[in-house]
Amino acid sequence: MAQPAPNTPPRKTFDVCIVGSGAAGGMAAKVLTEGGLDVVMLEAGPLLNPGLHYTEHLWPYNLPHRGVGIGAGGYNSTASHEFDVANIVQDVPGEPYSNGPGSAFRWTRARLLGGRTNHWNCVTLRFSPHDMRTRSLSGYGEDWPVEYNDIAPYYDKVESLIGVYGSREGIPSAPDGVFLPPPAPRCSDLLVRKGAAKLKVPCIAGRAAIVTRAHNGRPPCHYCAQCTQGCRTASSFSSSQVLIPPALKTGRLQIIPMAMARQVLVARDGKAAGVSYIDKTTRTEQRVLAKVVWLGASACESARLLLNSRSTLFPNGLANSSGTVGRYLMESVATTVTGAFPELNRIPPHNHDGTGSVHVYIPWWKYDRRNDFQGGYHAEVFGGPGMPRARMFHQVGLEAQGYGAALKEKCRETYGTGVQLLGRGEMIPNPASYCEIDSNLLDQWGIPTLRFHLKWSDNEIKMAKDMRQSFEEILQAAGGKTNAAVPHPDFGHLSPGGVAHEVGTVRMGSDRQTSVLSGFCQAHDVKNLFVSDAGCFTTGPDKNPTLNILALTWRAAEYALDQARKGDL
Amino acid sequence: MKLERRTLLQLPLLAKKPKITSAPAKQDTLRTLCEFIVPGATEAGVPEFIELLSGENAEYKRQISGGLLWLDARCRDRYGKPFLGCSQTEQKELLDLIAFRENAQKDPTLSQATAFFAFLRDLTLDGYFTSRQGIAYLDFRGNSALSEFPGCPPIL
Repeated sequence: MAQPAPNTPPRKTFDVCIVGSGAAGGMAAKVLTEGGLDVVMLEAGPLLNPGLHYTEHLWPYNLPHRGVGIGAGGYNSTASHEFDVANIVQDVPGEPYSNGPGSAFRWTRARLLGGRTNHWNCVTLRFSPHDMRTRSLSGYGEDWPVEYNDIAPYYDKVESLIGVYGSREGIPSAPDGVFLPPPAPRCSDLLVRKGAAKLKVPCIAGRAAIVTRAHNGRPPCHYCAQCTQGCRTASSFSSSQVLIPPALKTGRLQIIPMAMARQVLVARDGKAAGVSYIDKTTRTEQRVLAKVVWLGASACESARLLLNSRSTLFPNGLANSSGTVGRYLMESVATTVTGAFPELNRIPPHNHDGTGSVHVYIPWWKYDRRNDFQGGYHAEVFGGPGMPRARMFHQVGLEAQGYGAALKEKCRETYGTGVQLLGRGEMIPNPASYCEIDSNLLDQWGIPTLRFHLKWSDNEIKMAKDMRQSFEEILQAAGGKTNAAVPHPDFGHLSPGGVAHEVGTVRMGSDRQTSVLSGFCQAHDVKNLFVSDAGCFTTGPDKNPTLNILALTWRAAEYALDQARKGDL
Repeated sequence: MKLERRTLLQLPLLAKKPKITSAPAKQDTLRTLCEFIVPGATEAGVPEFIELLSGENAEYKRQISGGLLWLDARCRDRYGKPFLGCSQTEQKELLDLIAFRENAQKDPTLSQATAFFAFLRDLTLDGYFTSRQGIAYLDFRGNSALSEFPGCPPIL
């Protein structure tokens, strides 16, 4: 039988080989190609075809399973829910991972050009100056090797490029940015705002990478609330639609899809020389050579790639003389509290969708007092009458029981009355939270897989408890009824990985004994190796990672361009 | 390569209704139950949705087909005929027994059937409220394209 032609890499040596095409890979490709470098990008999935991969604007009844999981996993399938953007899942077929005792980390991975930015719900928050210096200022965590002022110009540039809505507020824990006008609040947002105001808790316009007016050639948001299903108009940000097209336009970016990176190649002088990868189409090993290797494969994939790049020169894995590759794995502390507001069901039916992201949010507000935990959190506000979905009336069925017209009516009465506060909090870095190579398990490409050891510390549990209490107070002050039952002994923590904010596994730091990268995302041990995905984070502030990946990557790429011009790579 | 799963989103397949594969009597019992749980469920394609899910998932299949058999056996004990042969009053009498958890506390022989009915109720609610009819019943106004988002009507 005829074999498909292998994804044969060109025989030339590229200036840069980028692994991954999400926030980090896309931004690096844009800045480096526009700076004149020849770039090859390896993506472990196919090129994006929004018509095929996105599910925006489908109705549940357009789908045979009405949007729930397909196959033997049923409702609980994490491999493939019909409404998910294709190929962004926890269970990638043939690419397993494992957990150590007591660890329940769930790892969301994308195998698609643009990575997880294709289904991002776009919450866009800058780190605060305090977030980056917690060790010096508050005695916990670590100081970053860069300060807020170093990154601020790049936040400005990123926000101007991708378009972020928000409002200027002057709150120290939530630095203002370059903002497009925010959308009007939904009814559910107004209720939360009322409750927050009573308690003197700030509840401000949301901040999200969704363009509310035409911006850099992208049409404004059409308010369908489905960013996480992939935005066909590219009004919500994705790397595949916003960063990669301008990089391709330079004529200096070559993308190799279906290319699963296996190992960073190292020359005799100890410098990175390229990347070997498995071409998934032909199941053959291929190599691409480059003067600089740039990893943006996601925090844990990049750590995995470095740990799998062992050699006589680097017996512990590449760039790992400190032993910190894979260490300090962090995830957002997360809990959700729902309030029931029957009045939402009595307002005239109207289109309540809005953007797919927050219209209002509650930034961290307890920075001026002593708390019984360290670090901060914020709350994202969602709720009201959204698109009817499977599982929406599970609770009604459980409480109302019975059957017939009365049950049906009860569902209608309850529909749209729930308002959720989603907490996202800081996890303190600790060396006992890490990922490592599983000595027993290969994936279907013959690449050793990861084993996770993620466990919350006491601080995170206390923080989650505080989240629940304060969210209940806010919802109750707004007139809502909250369910007092704590759903979980950890105060309703999602199991780690549920937020997909994993960071810190290839961290930057000023001390090369305890960190992998410099503040420019450059490996201490290998100067022509860069890692700029969330693996490079020194700490895991409550702010959602993507904006911060984009800004750190832009800064690192400008630095790399400068070094390349000087001949220093 | 199984990575591409989106063939199911290609339009010709969208219109296709899942096929019912189980025995006709079982289908009719399932249909009757769904219609009891949410009036209008049959027209909204709920039985087909349930058949599809339980056809793929052994655990769901066991619960549904086991539950339907239990129902027939219990009806025979009580009324001397299978569920479908019973009068509507008899059918409701039986459902009233298994539609409430409290009954199982009083009569432990009902506990498995109560769990079955709760599961079927879940599936039926899901199937109905994700159907065109169910979404219209809820009066959901979104999933469209607006040029401006007007926010909340001036009522709150």
